[in-house]
Amino acid sequence: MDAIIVEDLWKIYRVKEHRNGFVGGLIDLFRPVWKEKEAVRGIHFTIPQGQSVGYIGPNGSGKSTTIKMLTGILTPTSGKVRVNGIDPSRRRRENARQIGVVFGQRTQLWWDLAIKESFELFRHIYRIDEKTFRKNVEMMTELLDLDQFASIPVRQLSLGQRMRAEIACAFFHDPKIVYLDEPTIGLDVVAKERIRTFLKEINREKKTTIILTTHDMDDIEHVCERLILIDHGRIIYDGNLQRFVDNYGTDRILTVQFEEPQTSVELECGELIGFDQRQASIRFKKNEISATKLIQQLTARYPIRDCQIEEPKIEHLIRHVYESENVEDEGIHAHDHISI
Amino acid sequence: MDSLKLYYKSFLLQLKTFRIYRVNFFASGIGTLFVYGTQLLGLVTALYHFESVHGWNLYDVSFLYGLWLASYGIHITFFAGVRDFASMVHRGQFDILYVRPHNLLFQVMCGRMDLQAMIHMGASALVLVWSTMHMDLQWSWNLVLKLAVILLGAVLIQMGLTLIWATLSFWLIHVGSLVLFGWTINANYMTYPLSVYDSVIRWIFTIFPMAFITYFPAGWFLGKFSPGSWEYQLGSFTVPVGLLFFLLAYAFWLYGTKHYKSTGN
Ligand SMILES: Nc1ncnc2c1ncn2[C@@H]1O[C@H](COP(=O)(O)OP(=O)(O)OP(=O)(O)O)[C@@H](O)[C@H]1O
Ligand SMILES: [Mg+2]
Repeated sequence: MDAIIVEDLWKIYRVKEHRNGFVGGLIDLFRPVWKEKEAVRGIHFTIPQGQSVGYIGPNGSGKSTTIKMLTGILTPTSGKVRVNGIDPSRRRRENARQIGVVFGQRTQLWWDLAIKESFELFRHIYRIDEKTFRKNVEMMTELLDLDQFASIPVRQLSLGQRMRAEIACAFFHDPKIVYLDEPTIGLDVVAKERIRTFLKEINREKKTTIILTTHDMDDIEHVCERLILIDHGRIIYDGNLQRFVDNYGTDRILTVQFEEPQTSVELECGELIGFDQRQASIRFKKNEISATKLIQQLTARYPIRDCQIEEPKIEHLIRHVYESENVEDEGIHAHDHISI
Repeated sequence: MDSLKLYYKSFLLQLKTFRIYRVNFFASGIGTLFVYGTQLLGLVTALYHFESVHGWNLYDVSFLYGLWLASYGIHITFFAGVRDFASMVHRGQFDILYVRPHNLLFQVMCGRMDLQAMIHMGASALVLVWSTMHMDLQWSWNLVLKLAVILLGAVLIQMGLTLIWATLSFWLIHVGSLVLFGWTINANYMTYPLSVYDSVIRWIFTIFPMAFITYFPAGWFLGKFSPGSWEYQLGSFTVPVGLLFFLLAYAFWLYGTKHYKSTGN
């Protein structure tokens, strides 16, 4: 069954243009100038129950706006949204019963109280029966390792600890769908890793549909089977994650620092994209050679002090998508929706 | 029933956080008392010189003041979250309420309870008792019921007003100064008999029914209007007027929630 159906969905914000200065402010009050901002421009997708979808795109591309329309916070300007057959903006409360939401930038927890107090309130908010609630709290506490800070006031928690508790809150009522808008923002690798493992686990165990937005391609690679890429309010890639990574996401950049200045660098594999005696940057495809192998090859020839591997940036991937699109199919406009 | 339970649970959590901010509570409590105390003192000194204005003596005006304070206090007991709604929108926290299976206004009410309301109510009870002690009212169940009725009407209008201010924050970013302006008008104009004002102002407050918080109901209760006069009629109608006003404000609120724009991040 399809959990989410989105057809030709648009969101246009009307924002006031501000004039300068005090007088300008006064004029604004009576004769505002409106500017239209097309945040989401006619997107389509359907998501089956139980799928885990990564929703990514650069800053301001319309990810949060889409999530807000799916969850019933914003009324779409036009188009159709159905979540388990329900229009979320018209039947908000019905929809809310079946979904869980995590906003990386908002908090659902009571700032001055321990997380278990907030948890207890969730039992009443969703009218969860005692037994299910106990069972779920136990499960979340274990999977997210919440025990060690369960009785400390939220304001004293670290960001990573708080985020784990926020995520737990979205799952107590056994939602069919969980939306996570940047749950890993500002977290270190260890905290990210824990959240990824958790999401994967819960998706497998409970068959929860997961929609995850993030700026970290690694999050998606660990958690999601499908990727939707949005740019300037349009979907530019929608399909299998693995295929995407194989096609576009294989470039890595290895930067090495030498112990002593070198005059030149010889490579067996990869492409030299930067060199200045003490340091060299090498682009390589990870399906052609692994990073360890490449480093081995280099250390065999040069004394290496330090090295660093860069993942491709989302902006970089997007450029790839546009480029390959133009090459493969000239009929398609750069911004048009493609399905792979 | 479930909603009541949720409200109660939220209240218990509020009490717990309140323990943390005890000092803050007492400090602002003293501040509140000071504001209202000064206001009342101003009233008393003014009337001490004039003895009465338009047939309202010191005790009548104090009763009016007490009625205002009581209705404001009762309304704050439930509407502290609505009063502070602008900051909730500003921080983007209102988003969270949309994704929960409850009425939005109800959730705003659950989200914040202000124990300052106890101070309002305590002070208003003192003023009301003191002023009525100096009147020759024939206390009966009927009169108690009448008092409850005018309080209810006044509370409904206070709630309607606060809800309208809150709803404006769906469109305006900085409603803080506007709300303060509204409160100042409310607290300063409604604590004097309406008859002292210019006829334009009287009309405005009759149509935008702030005069139904104190002037009409208090006049009706204290027998300031001759039975059959239009003021008397209006005075006996505060509950329907309050109900209608609140429902209109609620309709405005519902309209606003459909136009909620959230914040950028
Ligand atoms: N409440 C709002 N009012 C007006 N414009 C908005 C609002 N929210 C977002 N926008 C605009 O709409 C566009 C899309 O914003 P959105 O928040 O959906 O992007 P995003 O993909 O979530 O970005 P980010 O990765 O930075 O979170 C942006 O240009 C933003 O400026
Ligand atoms: Mg966002």
